Amino acid sequence: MSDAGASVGGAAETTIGRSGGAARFLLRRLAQALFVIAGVACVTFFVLRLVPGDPARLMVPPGSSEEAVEAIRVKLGTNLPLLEQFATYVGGLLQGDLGTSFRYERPVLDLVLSVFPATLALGGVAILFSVVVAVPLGIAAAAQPGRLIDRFVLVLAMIGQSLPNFWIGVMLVLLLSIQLQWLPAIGNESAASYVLPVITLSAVLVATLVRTVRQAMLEALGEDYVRTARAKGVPWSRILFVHALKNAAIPLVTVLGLQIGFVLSGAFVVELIFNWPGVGLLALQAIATRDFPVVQGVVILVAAVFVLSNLLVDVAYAYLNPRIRLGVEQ
Amino acid sequence: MGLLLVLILAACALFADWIAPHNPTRMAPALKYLPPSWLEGGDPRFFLGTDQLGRDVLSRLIHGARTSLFIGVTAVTLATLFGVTMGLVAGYFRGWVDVIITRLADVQLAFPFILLALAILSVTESKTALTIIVVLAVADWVIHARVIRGRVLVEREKEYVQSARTLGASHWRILFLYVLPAVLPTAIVIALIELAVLMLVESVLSFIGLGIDPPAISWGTALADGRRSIANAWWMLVFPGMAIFLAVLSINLLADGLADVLDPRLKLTGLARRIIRRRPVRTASAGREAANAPLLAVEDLHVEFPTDGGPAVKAVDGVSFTVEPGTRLGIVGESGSGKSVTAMAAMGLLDPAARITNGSIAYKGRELLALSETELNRVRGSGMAMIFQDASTALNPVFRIGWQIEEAIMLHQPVGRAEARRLALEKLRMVNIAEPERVARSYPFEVSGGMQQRVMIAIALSCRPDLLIADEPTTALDVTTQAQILRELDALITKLGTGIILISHDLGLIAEFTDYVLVMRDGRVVEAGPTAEVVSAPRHEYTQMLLAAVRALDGAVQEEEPVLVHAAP
Amino acid sequence: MSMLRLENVVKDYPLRSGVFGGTSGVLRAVDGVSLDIAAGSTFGLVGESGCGKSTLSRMVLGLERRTAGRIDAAGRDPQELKGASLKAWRRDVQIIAQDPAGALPARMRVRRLLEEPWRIHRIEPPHGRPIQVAQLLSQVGLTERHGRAFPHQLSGGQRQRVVIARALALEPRLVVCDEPVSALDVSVQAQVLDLLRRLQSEYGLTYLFISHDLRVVRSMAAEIGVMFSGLLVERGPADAVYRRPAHPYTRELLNAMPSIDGGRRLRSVAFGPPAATLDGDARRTGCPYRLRCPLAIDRCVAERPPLRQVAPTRFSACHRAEEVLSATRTSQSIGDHK
Repeated sequence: MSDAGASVGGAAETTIGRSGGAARFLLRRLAQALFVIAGVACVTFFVLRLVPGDPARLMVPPGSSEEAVEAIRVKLGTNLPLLEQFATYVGGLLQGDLGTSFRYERPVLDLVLSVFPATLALGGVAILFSVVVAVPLGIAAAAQPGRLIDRFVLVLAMIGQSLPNFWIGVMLVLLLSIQLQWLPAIGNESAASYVLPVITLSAVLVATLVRTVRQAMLEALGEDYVRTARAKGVPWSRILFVHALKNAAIPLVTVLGLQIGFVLSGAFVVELIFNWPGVGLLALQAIATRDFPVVQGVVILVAAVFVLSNLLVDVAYAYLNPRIRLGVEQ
Repeated sequence: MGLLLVLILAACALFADWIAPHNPTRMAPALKYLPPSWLEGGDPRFFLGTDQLGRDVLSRLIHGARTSLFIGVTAVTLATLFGVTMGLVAGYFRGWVDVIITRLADVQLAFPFILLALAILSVTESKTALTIIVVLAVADWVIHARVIRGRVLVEREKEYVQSARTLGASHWRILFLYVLPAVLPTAIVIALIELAVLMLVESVLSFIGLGIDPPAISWGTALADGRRSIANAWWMLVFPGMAIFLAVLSINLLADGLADVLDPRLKLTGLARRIIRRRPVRTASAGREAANAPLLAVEDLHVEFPTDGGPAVKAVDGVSFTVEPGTRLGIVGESGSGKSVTAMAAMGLLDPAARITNGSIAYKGRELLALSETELNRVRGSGMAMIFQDASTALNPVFRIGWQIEEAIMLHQPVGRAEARRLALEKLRMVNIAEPERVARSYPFEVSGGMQQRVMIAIALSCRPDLLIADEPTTALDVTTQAQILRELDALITKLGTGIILISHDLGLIAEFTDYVLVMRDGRVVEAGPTAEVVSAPRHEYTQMLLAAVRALDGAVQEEEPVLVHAAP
Repeated sequence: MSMLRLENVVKDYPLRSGVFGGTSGVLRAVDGVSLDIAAGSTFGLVGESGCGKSTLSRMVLGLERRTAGRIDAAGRDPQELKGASLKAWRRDVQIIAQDPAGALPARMRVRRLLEEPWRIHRIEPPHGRPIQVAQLLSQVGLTERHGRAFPHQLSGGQRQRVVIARALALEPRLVVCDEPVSALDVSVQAQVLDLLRRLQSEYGLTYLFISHDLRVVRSMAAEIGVMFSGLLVERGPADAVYRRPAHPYTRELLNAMPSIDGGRRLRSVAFGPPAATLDGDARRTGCPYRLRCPLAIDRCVAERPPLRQVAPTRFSACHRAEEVLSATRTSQSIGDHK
C-alpha cells in the first residue's frame, strides 16, 4: 500500500476540495451520532428486558398474589411478546414519547427534562473548573519536566486518579459542613452550594486532564517542528504557548470528550451525596422504587447528551486539526 | 513501591481469615460506635473502632480487600481476555468483524460506564459476586478491545507481518506468535489501569446500594454505612475510604512502573529527556562580532552523551573547522559519525542530554557557547539558519505555511503583519513555487514532499542568513526531486552569497555541491580539504573505502567518459 | 525457462469519499506491466516512490490481488492458490524487504526466528534445526553469537543478513528484493550486495530486484525496467539503458544522480520545469510523463505511447524514443571530441 498511498498524497495536492469538506464531515458525524443514540436505545431496551428478573415481580410487595403480578405486567406491557413491546417502544421513541413514570404518573420526558438543567449546570461548572485548573498545571509541568513543579503535578494527578470521588464528597461534607459548618452540604440554591459538589466531581477529572495536557505537551515539544522553531529563533515562551499548545490541544479535546461520560456518571454519585436535584438523583430514586420507564428514559437522554457533546468535541477537534477538517483522515 | 503495596493488598485478601482480629460479621449491639482504640473511649480490642452494629471496622476492611480484589481481578481478567481477543481479531482481519466490534464499542462507550451497570443491576434481583463481575466485565471489555485494536492496526502494517505471510505462516500463527507479543505489554498495562478503575466502580456501586448483597463485605458498603453514621462515627467514613484509596493508588503506581518498563510508548520520563530548556553552557566570554573573523569557527569541539552506568559516548571528539563567508563546506560520514551532532551543536539545538565538554563555536568571532538562549535566538534564523532532513515533520502541522514563514520574518525584522505577508509570498516565489498564494494558505500536509522542503528553504532564507546549515536536506526525497531542489538551492545561495554547511552521507552530492569537505568517522575528522582534491586523491583509507564503495556501483562506466552529465534536458 | 512472467498486470485501488464511504473513482497503481525473468537471472525494477513498483512486488508475492492481467511466478499463479497449495508455493517465492528492523519480529531471538520457516512448514531439515541454523548463519557471514541476540541488538547490516538467511531457509527459487539496501550505509550496502550476488550463483536464485537507485539496480541486474506512474516506460539490458537511455524519464533519473567524478556540475545545469503531478482523467490518456518532459509534443497529450521495440533488445514507451537514443549518442560524440 505504501506506493499507492504516496500517489494519493501526491494527487491530493491538487484535488482537495476545501468547501465540501467541512459540511460533509458534519453530516457524517451527525449520522454517526444518531446511529449511536439508536443503538443505545435498543441496548437499553433489551438489557432491561432480557436480564434475568421480572420487573413486575420486583414492583409488587413480596408475597403478593400471581394476579397482582400479572396486573403489573399488563400495566407495564411486559406481558406482550418481546418484539411487540419493542415495536411499541420504538414507535413511542420516534414520537418523542419515553413512556410514563409509574411513581409520578407524568411523562418521563417532562420529568427528566425538569431536572436536567441542574445536572448540566453541575457538570458544566465542574468541566470548566477542571480545564481552568488542569491546563496551566499541565503546561507548567511539561515546561520543566523532572523539576519540582512537574513532580508535584504528577503526584497530585496520581492521588486524584486514585481517590474515590464519593469519598472525597463525604469527607468534604464531614469536614467543611458538619465540623466547620462553612458550606452547605445539600441542595443547589446558592452559589456556595456549588463548591463542594464541583470539587468532588472535578477531582478525578483534574487529575486525568493534567496528565493528558502534560503528556500532550511533552510529545509536542519533542517533535521536529519545535526544533525548527528554535532554529528560527522563536523564544521559548512562544514555542510553548503557540507552537506546542495548539498541537497539544488536539489530544486534550479528545480526552475531554471521553471524560464527559465520566462526569455524567460521576454526577450520579455526587447528586446522591449532596442531594442535588438532578437526573442522577432521579434515576437512583427510580431504581429504588422500581420506576423502570424513568430509568430507561434517563439512560437514553444521558446517552444522547453524551453523544451530542461528543459531536461538539468532534467539531472542536476538526477545527484544531486541519487534516480532519479538510477530510484527509489518514 | 506500587508492587509492595499491591503485594500487601493481595496478602490481606488471601489471608483475611488469619489476619483479621475478629469475625467481620459478628454483631455486638452493645459495642456499637466504639471509636478507634487509640482514642478516648476506644476499646483496645478494636483498633479502628466498631460500626453501627458493633462489628470490628479493621476486620471488615481486611475482608473487604478480599471482595474488592476478587471482583476486580476476575472482572478485569474476563474483560481483558475477551477484549484483547476481539481487539486482535478486529484489528488484524478488519472486514465485518471490525465493523461490528467498532460500532458496538461506539455504542457502549456512549453509555457512561456506570449507567450501563445501573441499568443492568437495577433489574437483577440478587447481586452475587458473579453478577457484579459479569456486569463490570461486560462494561469494560470495550476499552481493552479498542486499545488493542488500535495497536494491532499499527502492527499489521509493519514489514514483519508481511514477511511472515510470505514465509507461509497462517493468519492465526501471525496473530498469536507475532502480533500478540508485540501488543502484550500494552494489554498488561491497560489491564492494571482498568483493575484500578473497576475497583473504584465496584465501590461506587456498593456505595449507592447496587453492589454485592450482604453479608458479603465491601468497602463501598462500609462507606455507605459510614455516611449514614456521619454525625456520630467519623472513623466509619475515613478508614474504608483510605482503604479504597490506598488499594487503587498502589495498583495505579504499579501500572505506571510497569508502563515504564514494558511499553516505552506509554513512557513519560523518556520523553521528558528530549525536551529542551537549558543549553549546555560553558563559561567563556562571548565577545563581539568581528569583521575579520571567519563566519563560523569550530575549535576542538567535544560532545558527549552520558549512558546509563557506562562511560559517556563521545559523539563528537575534537572537531575543528572554519567556514568563510560565501563558501560551501560539506561534512560527509555514515550513521553515527557525529556529523549531525556537530551541526546541532553549532545551532545550539543539541539534545539536552548532550554535554559539550570542551571546545568553542564562534559565529563571526562571537562565542555562541557563552550566549544565553535569548541572545542566541537573535542569531538563529537571522544570522544562521538550518534546514532538516524530513520537512514533513519539521513544519508545524497545525499552522498554515504562510503563517510559518511570516513568523520567521517578523521575529527578526521590524515589519508589520501585512508587510510580512507580502515578503512571505516573495520568499515562496524565490524558491520556485508557482502559486505562492495557494501554497501560503495551505497546511504542510497538503503539499508534496518536495514542496515542503522548498518551504523549509524559504523559511531558512527568509531573513538572509550568512550561513545555512543543511542536514541531509534531500535524503527523504525522490532522486529527481532531490536534484531539482539542489539545483534551486545552489542558484539561490549563489545569488544571495550565503555560506553553507551541507551534511550528507552521499559523497556524490558532496562532490557536486561543495568547495571543501570534512570526512567524519566515529566523532573525528579523518580527512579534510578541498573537495576536488579529496575526491580525486583521498589520503585516508576510510575515505578511499567510501569512494570505492560508490565507484563500485558506477561500475564499468568508469572506463568511459561519463557522458550523461552533459546531456542537459 | 522463465521463473516469473507478468502479462498486462493492472492494479486499481478504489478512492473513497462521500458520507457513506462510496467509491468515487480508482487509482491505477500498476497499469499494464509485462515482463519476463529467466530462471537464475536478475531483473531490476527502478522507479521513484509511488510509481507502483512495491504494489507490483506484492502482487507477485500473492499478498495483493490484481485487477487484471496474468502472473506466473515459479510456475504458478499465486492468485489461484489457496490453503495447502498456497503454503507450498510460498516455499518457492520469498522476499527480502527494505527495513530489516521492521521485517523481524522484535521479541524472537535470531536463532528462533531462523527456525520459523521450518516450523511453519513442519519440515525437519536434513541435519536437524540447530545445525542448519548455524549453517544459515555462516552462509550470510554471521556467527553463533548473533544467533543468540535479539534483532534490536544487531546493526542494520547484520539484521539484513538475518533477513536474507531466513528467506533462504526454505530454499526458494524466486526472491523479490524490495529496496534491500536502501536503509544501509554505503560501505555496508556493498557487502550486502556482494552477499546477494554470491548466494545467487551458489543456489541459482532468480531475483526481482527493486530499487529507486539506478546504480544499485544496474550493479545487480542483467536486464532492467524503469517504472513511472504505474507504467513500465523502458526495458532493456542494464548497461545499455544506463549508458544510452531510450526514455526521457530514464535520462532524468540518470542526470539526477549525484556523481563523485562529475565535479561541480550543478551550477552549470539550467532549471528544469517544476515537477507536476497529473490527476484524474489526465492520468488515463496520453503520456503520464508529458508535463515534466522536455521533449513533449502534441501527440504526447493525445496518444499514450505503448512500450515498443526501438532498437535490438531495447524497449521504450516514448513517441520520440529514437531521438532520445540518438541525442545521447550525439552528446557522447561531443564527449569523445574533448
